Amino acid sequence: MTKRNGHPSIWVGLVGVFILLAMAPATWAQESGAEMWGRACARCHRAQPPNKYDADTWRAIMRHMSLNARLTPQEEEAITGFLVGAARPIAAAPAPRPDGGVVARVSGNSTSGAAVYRAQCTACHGEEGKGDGPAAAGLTPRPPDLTRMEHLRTMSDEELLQVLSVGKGSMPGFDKILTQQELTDVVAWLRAMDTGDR
Amino acid sequence: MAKLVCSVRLALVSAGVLAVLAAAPEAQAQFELLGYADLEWVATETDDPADEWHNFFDNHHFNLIGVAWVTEDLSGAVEVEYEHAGEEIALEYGYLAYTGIPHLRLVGGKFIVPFNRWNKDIHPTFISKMPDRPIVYNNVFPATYSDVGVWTSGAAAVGNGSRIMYDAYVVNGLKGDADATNFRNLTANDREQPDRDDNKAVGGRLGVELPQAGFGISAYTGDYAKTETGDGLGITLLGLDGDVQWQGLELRGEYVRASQDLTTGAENERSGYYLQASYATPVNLEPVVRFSSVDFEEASGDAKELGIGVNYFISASGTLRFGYYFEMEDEDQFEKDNNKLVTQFVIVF
Repeated sequence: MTKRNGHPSIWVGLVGVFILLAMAPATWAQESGAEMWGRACARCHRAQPPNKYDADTWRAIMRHMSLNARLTPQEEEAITGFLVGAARPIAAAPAPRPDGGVVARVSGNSTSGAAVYRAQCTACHGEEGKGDGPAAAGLTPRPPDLTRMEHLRTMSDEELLQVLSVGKGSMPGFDKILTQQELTDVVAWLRAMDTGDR
Repeated sequence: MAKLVCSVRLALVSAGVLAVLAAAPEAQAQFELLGYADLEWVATETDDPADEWHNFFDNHHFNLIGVAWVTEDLSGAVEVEYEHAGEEIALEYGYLAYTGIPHLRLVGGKFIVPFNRWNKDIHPTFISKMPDRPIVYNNVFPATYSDVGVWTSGAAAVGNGSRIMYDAYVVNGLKGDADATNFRNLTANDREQPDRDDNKAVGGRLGVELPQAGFGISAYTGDYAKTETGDGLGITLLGLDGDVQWQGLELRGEYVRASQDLTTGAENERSGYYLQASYATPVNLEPVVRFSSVDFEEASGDAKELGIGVNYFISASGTLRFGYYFEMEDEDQFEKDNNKLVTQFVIVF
């Protein structure tokens, strides 16, 4: 029946924890925002598709969720950046491209594409493209197994590039997150993954 | 004297919070309205031979969540509970947060107390794997306990995909009658006496999260009532939580132990836990099994519950859940027929 909240050990402990946190490196992992989203958000709940909300809504949600999920400041910034970039456009039609809608034809580099794929796509599609990334379990429909998608072979590079740019279904468009060259590199990587030429 | 020191300390903290809020740079304010809702059909066994199964519909939740971004470092959130078809309307939380200091995020207002994971993080029906809560969070820890006070939290990366995190808070605390047995009743708001025992409760959680596992320890202590002579009667809660996640498989468990001061001078001890396993299959079905147990050291009321369920993910926003609960009270006696079936459709928007 003693008063408890004045015990000095509680305050000393809190100060100690804060000092430890302040001494921790600002960032440790080189994860992308997409990877952090797949890991941290799917930890507690089904990851909601990035194109479910517009950018303003994601910014507000992330303020609330960064507290609830106890994200590090770096995680909050990176995940917010990914979700805002992949958010549903406020207008129904996709924003006009700076190049007037003409898809620039640049040759892709599958090696560079592999790195971009790892950073941006594995959260849903998984390391091997089998649709088993950390966020996949909560998505409906589940991300497809890219290694078994016959119709990918019937699509031209330009058509693939268009899907990556503006999105399809639960997959957001990446044209605000990746450069044209990076998108083209991912197309090259998908082709290499399909042929086993990695 | 101790009370004066405590009051001065709280006043200084409050002044500091107000000072940083006043200094926050202006930004374009935003407000977004979100929420979740569910419809349930519940069938429960009864002891009445003439009415062995009682069943009803329940609009269990239609909760609106408002999130506001006021300035670059100042935000807020509110959840208005509209539960049981409007029979229960309350503010689950409503807070302002200052996030301008890395590793020291400050929240003031009414917030859900961060104890283990169930109470704060995974109790909403659009997150929970089963339609109803584990019994340990009915009888040992009063879910969903939210309170008014100040909460600080932070996290830091300590490896690839790993981090440590902390929560610490000071709140008015649980409050009720001396020797109260129903902890759920200790969470009620009391406008006339927001902190009737005049003694703040403190608590916190320290957690570690690895890429595919996490665990944490939680503690809470504070008075819930006073004796006729003015002595405080306290409740101390200790908790452990852990989870493992791998390729759609999730194993989760939590333990709570409560010690409650009684007017007789004795302590009432109770504890409980739950263990849960679920697997999200590639075809949008998720089977779940959960076992929960509570143990009262002296009084009767021990109970066990085995729940089995399956979730069907209709879309990213909608889930259909089925849960069947086998209730076992007082040392595994099955005679008391109070099993229940809950079918729940939940959406998040």
